[in-house]
Parts: sequence; structure tokens; C-alpha cells
Amino acid sequence: MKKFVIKKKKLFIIVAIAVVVVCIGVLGYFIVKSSPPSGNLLKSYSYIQGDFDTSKVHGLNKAYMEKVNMKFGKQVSKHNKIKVVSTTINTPNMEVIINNAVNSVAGNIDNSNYQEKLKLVQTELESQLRLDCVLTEKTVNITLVKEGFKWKIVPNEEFSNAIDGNMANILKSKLLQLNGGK
Amino acid sequence: MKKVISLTLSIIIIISLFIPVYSQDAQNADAYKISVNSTQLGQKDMVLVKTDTQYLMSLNDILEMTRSTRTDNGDIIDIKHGTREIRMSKSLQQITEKAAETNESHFTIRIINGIEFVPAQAMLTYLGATCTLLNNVIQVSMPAYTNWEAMDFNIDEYNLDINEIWGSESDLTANITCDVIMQMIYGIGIFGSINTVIEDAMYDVLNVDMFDYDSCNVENLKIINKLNNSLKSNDILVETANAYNNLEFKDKITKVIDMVSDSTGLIGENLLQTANQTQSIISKGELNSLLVKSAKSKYLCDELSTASNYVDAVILTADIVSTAYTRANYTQNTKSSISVFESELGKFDKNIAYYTIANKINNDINSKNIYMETAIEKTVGFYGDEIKDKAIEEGLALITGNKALSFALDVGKFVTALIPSNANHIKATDADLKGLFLAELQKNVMLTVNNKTKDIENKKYQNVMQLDELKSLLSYYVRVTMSANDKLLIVANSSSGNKSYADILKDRNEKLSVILFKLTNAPVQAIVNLKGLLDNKDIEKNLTLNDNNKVSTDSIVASTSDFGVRPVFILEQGNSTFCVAGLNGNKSNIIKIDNNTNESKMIIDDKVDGFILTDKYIYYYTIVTPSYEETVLSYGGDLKRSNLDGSNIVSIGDIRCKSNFLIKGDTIYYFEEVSSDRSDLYSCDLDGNNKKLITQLNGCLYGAPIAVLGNKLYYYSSKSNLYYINLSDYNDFGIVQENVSRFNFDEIGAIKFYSRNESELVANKLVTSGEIEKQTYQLPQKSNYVGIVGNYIYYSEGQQLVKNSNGSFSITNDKLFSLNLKTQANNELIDKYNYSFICNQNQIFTIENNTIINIDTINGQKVRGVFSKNSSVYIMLVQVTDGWIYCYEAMDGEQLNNNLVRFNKKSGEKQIIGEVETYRG
Repeated sequence: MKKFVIKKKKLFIIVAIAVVVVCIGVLGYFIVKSSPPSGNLLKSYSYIQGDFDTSKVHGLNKAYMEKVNMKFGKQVSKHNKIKVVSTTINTPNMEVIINNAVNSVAGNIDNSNYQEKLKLVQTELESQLRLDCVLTEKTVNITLVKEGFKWKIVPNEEFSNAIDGNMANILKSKLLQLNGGK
Repeated sequence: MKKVISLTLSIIIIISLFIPVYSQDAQNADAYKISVNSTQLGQKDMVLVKTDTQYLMSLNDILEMTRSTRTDNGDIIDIKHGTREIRMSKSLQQITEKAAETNESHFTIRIINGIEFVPAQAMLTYLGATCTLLNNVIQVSMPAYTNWEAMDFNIDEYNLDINEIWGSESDLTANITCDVIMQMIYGIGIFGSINTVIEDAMYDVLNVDMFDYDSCNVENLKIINKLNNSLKSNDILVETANAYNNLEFKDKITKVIDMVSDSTGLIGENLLQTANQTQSIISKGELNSLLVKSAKSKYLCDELSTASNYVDAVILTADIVSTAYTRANYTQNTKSSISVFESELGKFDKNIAYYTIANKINNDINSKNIYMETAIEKTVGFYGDEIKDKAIEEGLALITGNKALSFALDVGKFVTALIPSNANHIKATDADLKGLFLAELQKNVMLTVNNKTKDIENKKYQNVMQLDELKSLLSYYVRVTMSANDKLLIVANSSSGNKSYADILKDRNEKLSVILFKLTNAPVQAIVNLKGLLDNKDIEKNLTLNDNNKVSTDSIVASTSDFGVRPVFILEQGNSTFCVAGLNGNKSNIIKIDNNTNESKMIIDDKVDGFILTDKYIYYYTIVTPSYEETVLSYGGDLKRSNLDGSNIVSIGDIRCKSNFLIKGDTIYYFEEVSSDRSDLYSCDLDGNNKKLITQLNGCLYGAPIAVLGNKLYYYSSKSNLYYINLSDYNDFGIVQENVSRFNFDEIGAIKFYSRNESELVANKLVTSGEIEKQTYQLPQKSNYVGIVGNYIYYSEGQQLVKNSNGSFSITNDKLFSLNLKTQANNELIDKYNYSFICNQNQIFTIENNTIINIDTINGQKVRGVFSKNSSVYIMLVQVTDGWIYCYEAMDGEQLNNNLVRFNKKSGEKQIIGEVETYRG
């Protein structure tokens, strides 16, 4: 009889553990479903607030976006339907990649073949991005807003800067260079 | 026998194939002198040839009235109107326009005395004019600009080249990096910060105001002057003032507007038509109401007591209406340009940033309900003190307020509120970035322009809506380019920028502002079906041809367009003024003035006496002053040619030109002095080659070619005679008139010359038909004839020589009178006036108490003395142009250091052009 009681107790614990595990699983499932999934930028597009259509992204841009990887981490703060999540973002090091591509192609650029060279640079860039290119990593806090059951990324300036592969800064420095190094 | 006949017939047929099928000269045709009132030439007599089936008019007259040009190549005449190109074959009697698929193989081209006559109404309408009949006078109206003229600019000249703007070849890798990044950023499309800059830049495009540029304001003044001249030259205002004396002022004005609108086409076709194009409905009643309000506000009276007030009131109002319309249309065009661009770009790719942003801006503009006050405010500002009463603003509201242009927006105010401020991280390179994005935007606009042009070509230029859209796209292109240039100007003017590039950018924007002005003001016309036009006989059915006006076809000579170009002292071309200064006998240079900056630059350092500008060159002749030891009085100087910037001066052939020369087509006519009493008349080509002796002029110190009319060259001599010589055989020659006291050219180029016999003045006019019209007037015995302008002769009485304080002498005339040519009534205008008097077309200026006085040619009265001068400054008038009065001025006692200055006719603003050592007189 005593033995039976012990058995029932064990069963109860096992069942309880199983229930907890299932609950955690179900809860985890819902948590994962309502947050943007970690992965590359192209896959995350539908989780970015705004009307974006990924079906027409191709070529160089597609190659770039597939290389940008986002990994959502711990929640920093939450208030009603807005929360801030620490996110680690890996982007191709565009400064290195662009410089390599331009230097490998643009050696003898002149006005007459500028557009031709531009296309060659783009092709070269695309092929470099499709290889194991150099990546840089940044961790930023990203704001998410809940729309229905979905959490969506608010594409603010911090987010833009994090995923731009430092291109805004390269653009700025190149413009300064063109403007006489001011 | 049959063989002989068939052989003969075959030969005849074969030979006939080689005979040009020119139309028989004047066969089965009567010629009539008719009156034509055109917006281009005013009212003038023209020859109309009536055949069995058609009314024909000189092709040259038609081309002049429609602002078209021709180039002859044997049997072929190529006609150009703006971007349109039309070809005629005289032998085939055919007219073709490839772009429009016009191909009429039965188009009458009748040649009389070498002049081509073509179907009048059909050809005028085909080239864009509107023809109506009023009181048996054919009214030919052209809009201020046609869309073909407005679109006739070289777009490639303004395309932005990133390499040219930002750097040398060594910076190309930086350029390519920027281009790559930008294209990636566009493609990824979520970089809010970058899109914000693009949006910001695109709003800036809408903010471009063409009226910020001097060239645009000058162009606007030209339209206003044209309107005013047309109002004045037709005597409509004065006639209606008298004819409707018994009417209330309001009704009187209404009558005037009706008549002006009908007969000049300017208010009717230009203002109202433009208004309709922008879907703003304005009735004549509203226009009239505005006129009444403005007249009252200006003169603060219900009944205008004098004709002068009355005329001024109407003219001022017409000016205001014209300017207000332009501004209102400009705002409307701003809106439609972004709308059409968005729609056209969407056909290519709706994912690029420019489309997304254009779409957003377009929606923003359309969803807001901000009414435009800008047109009113700016128009009132433009006229300043002339508008003294709020009533005029109420009047303007009639045409620019919510009733007529409710959709128009105050884009400026709107944009200020929308410009975002979160672009700080790239603020340092804001101008660069915007310039770069706008350069890219320009490429996108060009894409839509090219695509739209293809659509239009496919529809053979017959779809008005497509042409309107093309006009909007071109307007947008111009705005984008102007905005980009503005941004790049900031870059160029920065401490490390390329300063020399700044001038280029400024110059481009000045030119673009005029292009935008023309695009704004051009109503859109499609190319109409010529066959249908040829079947239209409205004018022919209703025009009464009077046998008294029948003229012999032999008397028909070439049109006014055959006049050549004569050297002048001051010429304005585009944004530049060219003038001769430094006339002290040692040097007389050509100075080029930038009208925008008023900077003058001596471009030719020589002894210039007169010059002619062509598209590419300056032609000028020099004075040679011989040394005292030489026995001859003077030699002729070399005829020379330079580029328009004064570079590359070369002597034209071996030509020593004694006096004024003449360029007509590709021929130069000039006199060479052979001895003190003989000059020889020559012709040569534009390079000075193929020199031909035309005739010898004996007993004269010099001769001067005046004009070529038909086959005849007219020239003037030191013996005050006007001569002619037939250029086809040189055997037909003679004197047109002796004792010619002076001559000038009226606004259509006909020669006016005057002979004087004691108190009798004979005014002669050599009209285009080759006939001389004479009119005799009685002047007081001691009068000193001055000139004839409009309906008045101006003359002075009492002339005396006075000694100035510096010891020099000058002539002073006591009184200036006007004599009405119709009533012969004399009127004293000025009690004492300086011996200085200048006129052009319908405007006269003289000096009273060192103040430049404008005299109204309609009523012969002083209008205003707007150019007030310090009494210690001595003024001598030199020349008057569309926008400026040129004169010398010097501080009393310093006559050897005169300044050449000019006064803006509208504002009175004075600009000093440069110092010269003495005056030309």
C-alpha cells in the first residue's frame, strides 16, 4: 500500500513535470510566434513596420540583405504594446567590400565608360557578397510594436544605421572627399 | 506617220518630266491690299491673292505672324516653328511634316515676283495662330509662346554630369562608390533617414520660384510691354473712351475689354486661354470687375476725367491681370508637374524611392486644402506703390481665389511645415547629398520625358493630353535641375568649392527660369489636320474684297522679313547687353554686360563704330582717323569678325568699310571709299569672299546700305538722298527720294523717311509692297523737326547755344511741341528741354530739368518723369531698348569723364555700365 502511494506520488510529479514542460512549450511557441524571428534581413522584412515587398528585391540588394543577420536577445523594457529588445546584427563590412570591388574594377575609369564600370562594380560586389565576406557585428536596442498578434520592428534611425553596413558613413566620407576633403 | 506622232508625244512626255511644275505666276489671280491685325505685327496692310478656289498670302508674312523661320535649299523650303519642322516643295506643290505624318500633295504654292503665296487661313492655323474676322480686318492671334516654342531648348545642355560637378578624374572612384551605395540604399528601401533627405530634396523642387531670377522677370516685362504696346497701337482705348462717353465707367471698361480681347488676342487668347488651360474659369465679367476695382484703387475716382488716366488705368490693370495669371498658373503647374511625374514614373517601377516619395508628396498636396494667396501677395508686391488700395486685392481674388483656382496651393508655406528635421547625422553634407539625389532624380525625370515623347511620336503629335503631360514633365525636369543647381551652388561657394563653377550654375538657372516661364505660359496645342484646315473657308466666305484695294501683281515685292540687319550702338541678346563705349576718337570698345550681375567686361579693344550680332559672331567695322599730314578726310576701317566673347578677331577679307554695313541672309553689303567724292557699293559673303562691285556712288562722301526689299537694295548717301538698285541685274537703279532729312524703321521694319521743305514736312513710308505712302504736315516756320512716333510729330521751337559752367557749349531748345497727325492740333509739352530725344517703336523719352520724361504716344502728353536726376548731373540720352534707357551722364564740369549708365524703364533703377571719355555725339 505504502509502495503504491509512493508510485502515485511519482506519477503525479511526472505528470506535473510533463504539464509544466508542455505549458512551457506552448508558451514558448506563442512567444516565438509573436516576435520577429532571428535570421537574415530578407526574411525579417515582413516584420518591419511599413509596406515592404520582398518579391522584387533581387541582384545586389538581395545578396546584401541575405547576408545581414539579426538575432533578437533579451528584452530591455516593455510598456503595453511597445517593447525594446537587445538585438545583435551582423552586416557585411561594406567599407572593405566596396573598396575591394571598386579597386578591382575601376582602375581606369573615364567619363566614357562610367556606367559600364558602375555595372561591373555592382556585379563584383554581388559575387563578393555571395561568398564568405567579412562581417561586422553590432548590438543595438530595437523597438518593437505590437500590431495584432505580431511584434513589428520600428525602422528608426538606429535600426537603419545598424543594418546599413556602415554605408551612410562611407557615403558621407566619399562626399567629403569629392568636396575637397572639407 | 503614227510612228512620228508617237515619237513626238514620247519626246514631249519625257521632256515634260524634266520641267519643274512651278505654279504659273499670277495666272487667274487677283491681288488685293487687305488689313491684317496680328498680335505679332500689329495692324498692317498685306497682299492677299485670290485664286479661283483659295485666298493666298505671302509665306513670309505668315511666317512672321507665327514666329516661324525658313531655310531655302533650291526647290525646298524648310520651315521651323519651335520644335516643329515642316518642308515644302515648290515644284511638287507639296507640304510635309514627318513627325505629324502631314503629307499634302495638292498644296498650292504660287510664286509671284519670286515671292511664295500659300493658302492663308490654313497655313496660319496650321502654324498655331487663331484667325478671325472683325470689321473686315483679319485678326491673327498667337499665344505669347506656343508649346512648340516653349519646348524648344537643348535639354542635354542642362543634364547634370556628376563628374563635372564634383571633381576631376581622380575622384571617379569616389563617385562610383557613391553611386553604388545610393542604388543599394534605394533598392533596400528601408533607410528612413536617406529617404527623408530625398523627400526633403523633392519638396525643395516644388519650392523653386522662377520669379527669383532676373531673366524671368525681364521676360515677364516683355509680355507686359507687348500687351501695352498692342493696347496703345490699336488706339482702342482712346476710341472707346470717346465712343462710349455716355456710358458709366464700369460699362465703358467692359466695352474696352471686349474690344481689346477680340482684336489683340492678348487678353483673349493669352490670358483667358491660359486660364482655361489650367481649368480656372474666369468670365469676362470677372475680368471687367477687376479692371474697375483696380482703376478705382489707382485713381480713386468713379469717373476718369482725362483720357490719360483712363488709358493708364486700363493698361495697369491689364499688366496686373497678366502677372497674376502667370503666378497662379505657375503654382498650378507646380502641382501638376509632380502629379504627372509620379504617374509616369510608376509605369516603370513603383519600388524605387523616387516613386514612393513622389506618390507621398502628391497625396499630401492633394489632401490638403490650403488656398493660394501667393499669387496675390507677390503680384501686389511686384507693383508696389502703384496699387494703393485694398480693392485691387479683392479684384485679384476673383481670379486667384477659391472661386477660380481653389486647388492652387501655397506650396512654400506647406513645405515649411513638412520638412523633417531628423536628418541631422548627414546635415554636414546636406547640400551635397541633395544635389546628388537630385542629379539622380533628374535621370528619372529624363526617363519619363523620353517615354512620353515616344508616346507622343506614336500618336503623331495629335493628342493634346499627352502634350500637356509632356509639358508638365519638362517643367518638372527644369525645376529639378534648378533646385539641384541651387544646392550645387552652395557646394561651389563653400570654402573648398570650385568658385568658377558657381557662375556656370547661376547662368544655367537664369536660362532655365526663362524656359520655365515659357512653359508656364504656353497653352498646349496639338498639330492639327492640315487637310481639314484647307477645307475651312470661314474667312473667305465672310471677307469683303473691295475693288478699290486691288493691286497689280507686278507691284508685289518681298515682305518685311527680307530686311537685313544693320549695325547698332547697343544690342541686348539673352542675358547680355553689348554696347560700344569709349568714343573719344582713339578707342571705341565693345563692352559686354551681364544683365544679371551688371558686371561689364570689355571684350573688343578697337576703334569700333557699329556692330552686328549673329548667332555665333560679332561683325563690326572700325574708324580710322588719318594723321593731319594726310590730305584725305578719313579712311574706311576694316570690317572684322569675332566670337561672341570677343575672342578670335579676324579681318573679313580685304574690306575697308566706310560706313554702316548690312547683313542680309548670307551676304554683306558695304561701301568702300574710293576718293573724297566717290564711294563704291560692294557685296561679299559672310567670310568676306566673293566680293562683287554693285555700283559706284559719285559726288558723295559716303553711302550706307539701308535695307533689302525684294530684289532691291536701298541705300542712303551724304547728299541726303535715298537710292535703290535692283540686285538681280544692277541696271535698274534710281533715287527714291531727295532731301531726306532722316529716316528710321518702324516696328515691322518698314522704312520711314522724312523730307523737309521750309515749313512743310513730308513723311514717307516705304511699305512692303514697294509703294511709298506720303503725308504732308504744316509746321511752324522756325520749328526744328524732331521725330514722328505713333500719331504725333514732335518738334521744337527756339534753339539756342548755351555755355556750360565748365566752358563747353551745348544746344538748348526752348519748347517741345506735339502735333496730332489726325487733328493737326498743337500741344506744348515741355517748356525747356535738353536737345536729347530718343524713341523706339511706341515709346518716347526726352529730358526736362535733367529728368528723363516718358511721353505717351497715344495722347501726346507727358506721362511721368520717373528717372529723376540730381541737377548737377548732365544727361544725354543714347538709346532705348525693351527694358532700359541708355544715356551718358557726367557731373557738371567733368564732361570728359562721362559714365554710360542705364535706367530700368519700369523701376527707374540706375546701373552704371562704365566710364567713357566723351559722349558719342
